[in-house]
This record gives sequence, structure tokens and C-alpha cells, in this order.
Amino acid sequence: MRAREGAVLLVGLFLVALPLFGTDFFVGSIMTRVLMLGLVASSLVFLSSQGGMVSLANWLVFGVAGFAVGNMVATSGRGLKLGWAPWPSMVVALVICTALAWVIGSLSAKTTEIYFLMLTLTFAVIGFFFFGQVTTFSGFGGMTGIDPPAFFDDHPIRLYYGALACSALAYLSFRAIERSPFGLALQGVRDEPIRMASLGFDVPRLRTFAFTFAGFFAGLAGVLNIWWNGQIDPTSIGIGPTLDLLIIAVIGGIMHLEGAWLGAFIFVGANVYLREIPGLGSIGGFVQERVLAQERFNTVIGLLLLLIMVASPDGASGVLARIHSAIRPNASAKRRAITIDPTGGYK
Amino acid sequence: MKMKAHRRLLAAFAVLALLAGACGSDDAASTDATTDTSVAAEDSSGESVDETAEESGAEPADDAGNAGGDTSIRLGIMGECEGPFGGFHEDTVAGTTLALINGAGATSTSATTALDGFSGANVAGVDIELVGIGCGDDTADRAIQEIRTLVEQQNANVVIGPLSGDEGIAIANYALDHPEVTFINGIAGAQDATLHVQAPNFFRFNGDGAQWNAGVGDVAFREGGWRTAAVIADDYGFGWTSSAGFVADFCAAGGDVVSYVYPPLGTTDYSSFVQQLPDPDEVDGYFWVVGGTGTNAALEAFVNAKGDLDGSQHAGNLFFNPGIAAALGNDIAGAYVGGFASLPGDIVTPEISAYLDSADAAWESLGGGLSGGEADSPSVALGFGFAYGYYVGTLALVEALDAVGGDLSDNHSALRAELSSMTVEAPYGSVSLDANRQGIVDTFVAQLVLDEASGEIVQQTVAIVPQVDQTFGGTYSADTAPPERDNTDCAERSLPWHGNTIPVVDGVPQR
Amino acid sequence: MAIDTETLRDHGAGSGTPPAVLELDGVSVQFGGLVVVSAVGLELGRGERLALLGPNGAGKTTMFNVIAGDVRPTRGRVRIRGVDCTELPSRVRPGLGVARTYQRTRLMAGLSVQDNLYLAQLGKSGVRHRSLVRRAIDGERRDRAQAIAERLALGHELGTAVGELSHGQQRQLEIGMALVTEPDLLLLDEPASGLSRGERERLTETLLELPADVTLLLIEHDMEVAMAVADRVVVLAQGGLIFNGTPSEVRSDPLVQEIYLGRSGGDGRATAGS
Repeated sequence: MRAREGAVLLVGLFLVALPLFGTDFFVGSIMTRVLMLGLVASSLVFLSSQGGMVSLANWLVFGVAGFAVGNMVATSGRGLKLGWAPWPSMVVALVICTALAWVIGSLSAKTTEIYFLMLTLTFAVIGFFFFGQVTTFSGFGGMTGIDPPAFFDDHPIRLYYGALACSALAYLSFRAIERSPFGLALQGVRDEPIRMASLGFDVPRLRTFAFTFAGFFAGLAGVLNIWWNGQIDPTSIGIGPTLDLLIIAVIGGIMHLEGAWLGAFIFVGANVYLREIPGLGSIGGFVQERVLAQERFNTVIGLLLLLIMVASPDGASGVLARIHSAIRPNASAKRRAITIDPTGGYK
Repeated sequence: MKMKAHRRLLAAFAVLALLAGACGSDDAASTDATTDTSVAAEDSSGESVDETAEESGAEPADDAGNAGGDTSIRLGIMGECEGPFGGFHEDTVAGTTLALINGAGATSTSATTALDGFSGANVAGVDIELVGIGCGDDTADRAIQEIRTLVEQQNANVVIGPLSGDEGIAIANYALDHPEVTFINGIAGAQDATLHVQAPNFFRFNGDGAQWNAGVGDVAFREGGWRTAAVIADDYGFGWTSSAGFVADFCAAGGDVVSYVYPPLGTTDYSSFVQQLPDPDEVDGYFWVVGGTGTNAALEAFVNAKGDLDGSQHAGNLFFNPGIAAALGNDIAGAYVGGFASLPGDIVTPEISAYLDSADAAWESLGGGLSGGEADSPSVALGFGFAYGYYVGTLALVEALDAVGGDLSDNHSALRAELSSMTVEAPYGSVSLDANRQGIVDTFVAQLVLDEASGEIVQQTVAIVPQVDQTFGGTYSADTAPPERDNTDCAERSLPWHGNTIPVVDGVPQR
Repeated sequence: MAIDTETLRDHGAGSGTPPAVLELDGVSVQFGGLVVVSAVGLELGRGERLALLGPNGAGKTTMFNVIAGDVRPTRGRVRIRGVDCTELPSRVRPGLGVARTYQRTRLMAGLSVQDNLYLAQLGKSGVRHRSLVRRAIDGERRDRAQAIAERLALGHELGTAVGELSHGQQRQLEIGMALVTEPDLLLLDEPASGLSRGERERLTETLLELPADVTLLLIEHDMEVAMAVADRVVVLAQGGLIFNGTPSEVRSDPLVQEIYLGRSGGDGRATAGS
């Protein structure tokens, strides 16, 4: 029963030690991005797995954090150019993101399933056009040249640890919620909102609160992202990246919190490393020259993602579960819910 | 308990995957070597894979503190293989490669594509090897990811690129944080990349989107007699920058822009936007910056709302092309058109001919963007602005490297000083850089005219606008906001190229 | 349309006594042009056990939903323990001591039996801000959950995900969800449907064991269960209240027999359905 915690702890320790032997590129670029994407994906996985809400607005909240920081920090270029210090800007940005998530959450909380998906997608699209067209806050050129606080500036390893700490915070928070009364109520809403209402729960409020909570972490990832990326523009929050987040969550396994980071790792890793596989380019020689060469590697990535999803509707973590049950058939013969005994221990 | 024991497996997998990733990167040099052997296949120059590995080192971070300086150029090309300009990926690599073929003795690996790389490039004893080709998609975020891979993983110490504006700003900002790498712009045309970012290691030998329209306002004012104009442009960065060039030029000449209309990108029904424009009897002319299929749709809406086109009342940026006539008839004859990086095909000079011939000699065929990826004569791709921009940037690199005798010490300081001060005698006109390392370039004004012989509308160059700089006589500076919609100050100014345009008669500049 | 629109008063509710547990006053429900419930009046006193009968389409479930707060009446008032709940959503009902079950099981399939029973109690008291961080360990509620589960022969399934229970077990839990809140007013929507004979008997037993002050409103097709549990029967037909009396009276009422029980001839059911 400690397997899950043990496994996560093992990976966590590994990630802490990673900068000792990983290259700067792997740690500062690949893994920092994995952690940030995993962080924002975890906010989606939380909503989806515990609240039954598949949201397309988490990426918007993530982006708004970036735009907020950009507007507050920048001294030249586009936007408000307030010239504030980075740390206070981060705090204000998180407040803005959490408030925005509360607004989006309360406006979407009464819808479910496809209607919820479409409503949150609408918010995402509005966000794209808002920052593109309202030049007071950005314009299509976006916020550029945004520097992180001096503590992180030119210290990619520190930023990596920042992303790791935020990821750990999110993971522990979402796991703690899972067994809290609020989390149980949220899962109840996921399964039977009508019953939950008749039991006395304020269903839209529970949904809104969950969305707001997720929004905080999406915003946290957004702040880290602009510190890491240095820029954000409307295409950063367009449909493509919005769907990328959903893809990350799905390939990782949208019902497992750990899947968020696993999905991000697969997504980023595939993007960076897949095209370097020797000979991939020449596979196409049979059909047409360079048909699977680097400039078409997205096709390859698409096929890989398709493969994962077809093989396991529950993503990569689901694949692992199947492999495991194949090796030890009795271990998962019957799925059992985690429950709590009065003494507080897990069964 | 039956508590998700598979998670242990999951963790093991994750750790293994991480290790594989980390070690993969630890082996960055050998990965590079693999890439090298594929891009520089049949490399017979004697440059061995092992040497590459040694030079690259296992720790990319060492580059920054490499006291001894680089001994070779590890070139990264930042192209764009996806997105709206994805079709021009071949062009960008071909432009870079041709400059190395012409100036550094390189040989293209393939006779039908530049994407397979080149070999044998050497200038003043410095080998130039291709370490990677970045694959942008017209977004800044992707450009940053790609440039990180090129610089931090593949250890490029010189990067040529990128292609489009927002990518350019992102990479110029990235350059600020990576002083050990020299960046030479490909063909991206956002004003901020040089005017505002001012990275000391980011060089741009092409004009920005505003510069390309220099001269159109002047010609419309003088030749077309325009005193007032209306602007209709796509509502995004390039639309704003491109129209700003016309506004700055036209206002400097003494004209006044009385109306601005910015339809969102992707508009299909332009009627409501065209309605906002003044009527033809209320304004002397219209300047159009509507790209893609929007050009015809917008002009059709104009005809429906305001009556027939009168070519002398219209001008446009590079989106305005003879194809308009096919849909809207020959009434458009007389309209002025702004420039792009290279000059139109109707201009023939010995330098241009030599350049295009060298392209045709380097490859049998290329599938560039203009030919829709189909194999075509290489000079078609190289004659167009995208490839040409990369060509000029690489040509500057080659010439500067030659001038400093291959000195790459002290973060390429000698090379950078030479790049900043040199004048590149490029086939379509000479280019030098201003204090922000932004090109001062020649551009052109063309006109859509009726070819009597064929009865069709063709584009004819009417003037070359020499030595256009980024500031438009002070309209733009580091203190002005980047162009957006109508924020360009409309004031009469003296511009260096006003009165100095070189007329072109039958394709021959009258210098 | 309605056969009887007169408000039928409970004999036990006199002036000076506490307000009736449930009071319907001229309740009508209209969906578009269709009148589903027509001017029904009803009063339930403390500890009363009422069976609501009627043929399919008589408006039983709609009336039930009006009481539970899932459907708002077009006209009329609903009062629970003196509080006018007509405009209040279903989620305020548990606070007034109301618990209900569903005709088709509505359980949190992904959660365990214990967690379901826990949530039922949590809903009644409401989620407080502290509950976000505190673990969902609450000895008292857990004990009560266990006791109820054992009463419903689910004691050994406390940790099982509800989605994996058999249908009969889920039906049992459906009732358990209501019982665990220790309601004052218990609304049961066909609790016996889908149960085996043995389970029905246990259900009847469970309901008979309810504390005497629990008020019960029951929709039930199974006459055996309904008659065993109820001390009063009302019959709805075509949206109107046509009968209000004791179980023994209902058996002898010719109108009810004709319209609902269909014992007067083969066409009785047809009349009811038309």
C-alpha cells in the first residue's frame, strides 16, 4: 500500500539529484519544461480525475499568469509596462489567475461534459483574441524580454528546482485533497451530481472551488514559464497549445495525477529526441524522399500519441498498469477503491 | 493490500526514462556526431566524427567559459518547417547553403534538396559544419524551444535565422542571455528585434517589415498625386509593421493618413470593414496590407461597396500581386506595390544573373515554397526573399570571417566587429548595419501594369529605394512603441531616400 | 380533469401542535401545456407513514420531485417543517431533515460504500472550509456508516467501490444513503424495485424498524411492501389526488379499484392509462 508513495518518492529523489549528473540542457531546458507542463497538466488531471471536469481553460489561466507578469515587469515594449519587481508581480499574477479561475469556474460550473468542454474552450479562444487585439495588455507581438527575479536569472538549475518544488507542492496538495472531505465531495460530484445536490451539497460551488484551486496551480506554472521562456504572446495560448495540454494529460493518463508529469515527459521528450533517431529520415526513401524527416516529425509524434491512446485509453500509466497485471495477474484482479478506516489508516 | 502496485513499475519506468534522457544528453556530442554523419554524409573533408565530439565537449555550458575560443563554426540554421511559412523550409536552408557554396567552398550533399546538408565549408582555415536545422512553426515559443536545442544541445555557436517576425524578437532576446553565440537573422522582419532588443550579438542584414514599404508613400505622393490615404491592414504584428512603413513614408513626404481599418486575421467577409473606409471621392488613395486569400476578398468587397477599382487609387505591400487581376480584372493596373528582401525578376543586373546562375549550378532542382514544394529550378527559390535573406546573412558571415582571418576568440569579438562595420555587396544591393546592427537596405517600388503584348497584368519595378534605414528619419527609435495599428506618428520629415530613388526603366536601374 | 381538488387534511394535525412535517398546498405542475400534477394538497404529520400510489403517468414521481426540490411547482406551496421550500433547491432539504432515494440508483460509483455513506452525512452538515485540508476521518460518521452498512448486509463491503456492487446491494445502499442521515422525513422512490424476495422482506423489516418519529413518504408498486409499511395511502391519478385513507380502506374503494388496481374488470388498466 506504500507502493505509490514509495514510487513517487523515488522519482522525486531522482529529480532532486538530477542536476548532479544531467547536462545543463537536459535539466535546464528539457526537465524544467517537463515539470512546468506537468504542473499545469496536473491541474487539469486534478479537475478531471476528482471533479469530472475536462477543462480547456487551464492553459488560458497559465497564459494569463504570463501576460500578467509581463505587463507588470516590463519597462519597454508592449503592454502596461509597469516596471514592477518580479516577486510582487508574481504574487499579483497569482491573485489574478486565481480570481480569473474563480470567474471561469463559476460561469462554467453549471455545465457538464461536452458543454463544459466547449464553454471552457470558448474562454480559451476569447483569451487568445483578447491579448491579440487589446494592445493595452499585449497585442499580437506579445510580451518579450521578460526577466525572472535575479535569483533565477542566468541560473537555470535554480529555476529547475523552483519548478520541481512547485510540482511537489501541487502533487502533495492534490493528493491531500483527494482524501479530504472536500475531495470526497468533489469525487461525489464527479460521479453523481444530482445525488450530491440532494444530499445537501452545493454542487456548482464545489466545482467552482475546485476550478479556482486548479487555477492557482496553473497560474503558478504560468509564472514559472514566463521566467523560463522570457516571453509570451497570443499564439502561446492559442488552440494548438491548449490542445497540447489535453494531449499531455491524456497520454499520461488523465485519471492518475502522476500521469500529468509522465505525459509531459513523453510529450517533450518525443518533440526533442524523436527526430534525432538515426535513419528516421531515410525511412521515407521508399515512398518519397525525406517523408519522415525532421521537418515532419510532428507526424511521427502524432502517430506515437495515437499508439499510446489506442493501446491504453488511460494513457501511459494505464499501459504500465496492464503490463503489471500481466506479470502478476492476481494483483489487480479486482479494482478496489481506497477507503479509510476509523483509525485513519488506509486500507 | 492491493494498492496500485503497478505504480512501482511506473516509477521504475520513469526513472529509467529520465536516466535515458539524461544520458542521452550527456552524450550530446555523440548525438551530434550522429546528426553530423547524417547531414554531412559522405563528408570527405577529413573532418572526423571524433574531432567533432572533442570540440563539442560533453558539457555545453563550457562554451560560455571557453577561454581559448571556438576553433570551428558549428552552424545552426533556424528554419520554419511548419506553420504558414512551413513550405519555405527548403528555401531557408538553401539560401544559407548557397552562400557557403559560393563563399566557403561547400558542396551540397544532395542535388535536389538543401535539407540533407553540406560538406567541405571552410573559410580562412575555419571549418563550418552544420549541427542542426531548427524547425519553427511561426510562433515565438516554438522558436525558443528550437533555438535552445540548437545552442544548448547541439552546441551551435553561430545561428542563421529565423524566418518570421515574432520568432525574431524571441531569438534576439535569447541572444541577450547567450553572449557566446552569434546570431544572424534569416528573414524575420519585426522592428523590435533590433530597434528595441539591441542584443550585441544579433545581426540583421535584411530590412524590417516597415522598411520594405519605404518609397511607396513617396511615389504615391509624388507620382500619384495622393495627399490623403486610408490604410486597411491585417490586425496582427506584420500587418501593423508593414502598414506603418507606408504611413511613415507617406506622411514624411507630406501626405496625411485619414483612416485606419484593421480586420482580424482570417476574416472572410470584409464588407463591414470596407464600409468603414472613406469613399473614393473622399480620399486620394488606399493602402492594402491584406494577406493570403484576404487580398481578393477584401478588394471584391471594396468593389461591391465603393464601385469599380481605379488602379491609380490603390497601393499595397508585397501581398499585392498580379494575381489580383485574375479575379478582379485589369482595372487594378497602375497600383503601386511595396518591396521585399530581393528585387523582382524583371530587374536584370550582372550581379543578379551571376547569383541566380550559381544557384542553378549548385543544385539540379529545389522544391521551394514558391513552387509549392515541387521540384523547380533552384533560381526560383533563391530569387525570392526568404532564401535571399538567409543567403545575405550567411554571405556576411563568410565575408566577415574571411576579413578577420578566422578569428573566433573572445566570444567572436573580431568577427562581430567586422559584421557591424562591413558593407555586404549582395546581389540585390549593398547592405550595411546601423548602430543597432540592423540592415540599411535597398528596397523597391513596383507597379502593376498592363502588358500590351499578353493583355495581362504584370508587376514592373519602377524604382529602387536606396539605403533605407529602420528609423524613417526619426519616426521610430528605441523610445517609440513597436508599431501597432495607428500609433505611427504622421509627420512631414526629410527621409534620406526621398528624392534619391533610382528609376528603373525596362528592368535596368538608372544609377 | 382532477377528480378531487379539495385539500385533504390529516386528522392528527390540530391547531397549537407543531407544524406538519410536510405540507403541500394546491401544488400543480405543468410542463408546457401538459398538466402533470393538478392542485394537490397533502399534509403529513410527525411519524406518519404514507404510501403514494397510482398508475404509471399519474404524476407520482413528479410530485415526489416537487417535494424533493428537483422540480419547481407551477402553482402552490411546499412547506417542510413549517419552512416554505417551494423556491428552494434540493440541497437545502437535508438541512431540514429530509432524505430521499432514487428509483434508479444514483450512487457515487467510483467511491467506496463507506465513502458514500460518509458523504451522505457530510452533505447534511455542509462542507466547511476546514474540510479542504483535514483528512476525511470522522470517527462518529464512520461508525454510523458501518452500522448502517451492517444493517443492510453490506458490512463486509465497506471498502468496495460502489460500481462493483451487485444490483441488489446497490439498491440496499441507496436506502442506506437516506437512513444514514437519520432523517425526519424520508422520501423513498420505489425502494423495492429490482430486489429479490428476500431483500424485499429485509427492506420491509428495515422500514418497520424506523424510529417512530420518522415520517415516511413512499412510492411503491409492490403492494405487499407498501401495505405493510404504510399507515395511510393516497392515490394519484391523472395528476389529481383521488383517494386518501388507510390501507384497508383503499382495498375496498371502488374508484381506486377501477382506476388503479383494475380489479373491476379487464378495462380498468386501460381507463387508467387513457
